Amino acid sequence: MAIERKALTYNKKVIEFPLFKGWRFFDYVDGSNPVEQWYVGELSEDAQFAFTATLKDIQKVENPQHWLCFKRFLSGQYRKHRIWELWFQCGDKRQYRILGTFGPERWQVTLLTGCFHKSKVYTPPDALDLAYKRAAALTEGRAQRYERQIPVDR
Amino acid sequence: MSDKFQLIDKLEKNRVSRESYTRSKVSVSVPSQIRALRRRRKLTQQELAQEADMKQSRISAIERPGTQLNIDTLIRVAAAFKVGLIVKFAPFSEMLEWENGFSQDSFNAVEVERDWKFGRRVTTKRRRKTLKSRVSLLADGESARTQPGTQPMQMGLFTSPAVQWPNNKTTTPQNDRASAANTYVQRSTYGGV
Repeated sequence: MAIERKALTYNKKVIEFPLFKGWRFFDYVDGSNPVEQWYVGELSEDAQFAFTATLKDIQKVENPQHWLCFKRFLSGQYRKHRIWELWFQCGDKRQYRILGTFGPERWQVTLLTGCFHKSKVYTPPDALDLAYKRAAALTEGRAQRYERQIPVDR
Repeated sequence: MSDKFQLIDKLEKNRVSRESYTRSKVSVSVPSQIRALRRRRKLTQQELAQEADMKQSRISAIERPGTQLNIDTLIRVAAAFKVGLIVKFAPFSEMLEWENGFSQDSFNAVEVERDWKFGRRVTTKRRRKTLKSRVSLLADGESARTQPGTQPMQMGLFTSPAVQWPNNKTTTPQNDRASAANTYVQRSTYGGV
């Protein structure tokens, strides 16, 4: 729900909140762009369209808990970097997963890796560890982010 | 060639691409609308399920992108939300425009009892009575207009061009009243309940 929050006052000092302008998505980049490689190389055309439509939809929803395809925050060791899981599906009935984290700034998302999922089995099998390593690399400054463009007609 | 032109080229040539493209849009936008309306009504999935005479698991499934939905299910959900449903074939440009303007946070469709545009078309007996009295007031205003230096009465009800008071000077006030009331009743019953 769109929350009306113009400003708060504290001791007559007005604290203004920035207005939500949509989420921005970034890809993890370490010399290559593995998320884009996964998108182009592994996904069928159907899945590519579904991926873009999913990102376009969640881009406009402020609260991530209300994202249509937000699955969960990963538990265990992955909690350290607050890695979460998005999922989407298309005509082939295959379940696709995207692992990512929030940040570095507000309303920014970094996509770490993409994978497939079926009954607790991830493909590639080390997808979660990979996401963890990438999140750690980003925190330590060993990797960069590259903004993912979501064109209106892609 | 840019992404946009590549896409257009693909959509022009390939039927499967068109199918995938449309499916991706529909499979996200329909669950998104359902969730938006459910959130706006402050309903749980369980409550919506009861309202739509379905199981909670079914509501959960239809709020998931990629689930195949039939029109009957959508009609039942629409009825539970007390809203209508449009299933419409449209050009790609229109579909895209709608998708770009859609946001789960701002989407709303008012319930039938709060839909004043729909409700004003319904003419009950009481409403017709009110209407006639307003028409008679308006007729007085019209006769006043003929006198120099007086302003006709402004009635909010007849501001729209479709139901404007006829400007025919040859008719008597009684005929005017009757014809205006008929016009309004005829127009108002059209498309109403």
